[in-house]
Amino acid sequence: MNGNLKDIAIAEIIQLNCLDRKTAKLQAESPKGQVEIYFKDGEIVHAKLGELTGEEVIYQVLDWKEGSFSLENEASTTKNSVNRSWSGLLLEGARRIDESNTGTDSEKKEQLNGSEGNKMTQKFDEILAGLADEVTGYIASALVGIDGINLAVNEKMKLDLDLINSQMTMLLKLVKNSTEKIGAGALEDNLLTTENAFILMRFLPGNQFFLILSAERKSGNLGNMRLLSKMYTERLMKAMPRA
Amino acid sequence: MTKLEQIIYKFRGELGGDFISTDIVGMDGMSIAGGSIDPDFDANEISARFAEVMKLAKRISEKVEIGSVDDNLVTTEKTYIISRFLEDPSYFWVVVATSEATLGTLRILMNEYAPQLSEAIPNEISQASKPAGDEKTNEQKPAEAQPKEKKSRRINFWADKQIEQENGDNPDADHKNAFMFP
Repeated sequence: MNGNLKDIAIAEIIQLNCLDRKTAKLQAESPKGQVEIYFKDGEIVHAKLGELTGEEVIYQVLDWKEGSFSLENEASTTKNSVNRSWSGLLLEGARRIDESNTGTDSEKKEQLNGSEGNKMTQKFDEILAGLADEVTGYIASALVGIDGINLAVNEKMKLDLDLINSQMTMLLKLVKNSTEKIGAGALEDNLLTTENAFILMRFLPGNQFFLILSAERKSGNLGNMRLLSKMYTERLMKAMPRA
Repeated sequence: MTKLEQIIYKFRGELGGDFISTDIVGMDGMSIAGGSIDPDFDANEISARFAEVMKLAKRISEKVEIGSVDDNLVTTEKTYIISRFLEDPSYFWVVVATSEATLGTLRILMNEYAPQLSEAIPNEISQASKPAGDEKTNEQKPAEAQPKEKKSRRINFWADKQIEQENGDNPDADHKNAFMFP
């Protein structure tokens, strides 16, 4: 299988291969170099870019936007330079890309650290506490960056929100990508219904952060959740630092 | 028309003008029945992409222990896209409706039609459509056991609409009534 990186990003190719638990070799070529990434049963086992091997190769190629790629199924290697899970690699890669995009903005850095940052975090906490009081069957909520890292959380019971929200970030990204590809228009929200819970995710304007809200399946009210999520994303957006 | 297609047609009629597309999809991303009324919405692409969404949702729900996935509702500026597992979780049903649709009504209709669709899926397709990860099943399945039903004619709603426009005729009463919202 061959293609162009203008049509599909390396992160997407990695995700699709890993979700399908493939064993394959991805070769991509861009003005920045030539990379080989080996998959075994849906995990990345080896990556090589020039003299560089290992996880760093993945982080360096994730933002390649031009070039060509080829995918050879069942190609394998005996080398094992990557030990991190594919989802962890993509999350870390996304975080590094976000950091490099905002890293030159020293005002934003100051706002996120120090007293300004503390005030902002406190404001987020207050907003989420207000949301908790209004949602029927409330379980938890959080303001999450597109890198899967929580900015603020509020939970009614002890949960592993780092794990849950990083996983839900992957789902939201996949949904966003899918809806864009099929021409369905801008994504507003995604509601996952499971046996035990409703989990609603809604982007803040700019699509760099999203609100995640969960309620009990038995007592939750979907209309209530969707309405409140709209209201509270606006409030969270107002509390964000201005660029 | 197979029983599955008949039910889909009936569902489409009840949803009326808000209907865009619907498919019954195996977890391999292949649709076994359904179609799209809008040529801008490729039913095959929707099936494949939302199979990935449902696979990931299922994995996440198992990993974080929030119970099995029932459905996933996506709201975009143009559409609602609801994907829900059928009784046999190796299939899911995806419906795309305009953003003008009444969401509550859509969900109720899907609740009503889901059991009928589950019953109508031919048994011999079930094994063939199991996802790649289900290795035990795949090992037991002979390579030549590709059921004919999987290759049966898909309803092409767009083609139906084109034929009506080209002929300028009145479709038969049943066909016409199927697209009238009650």
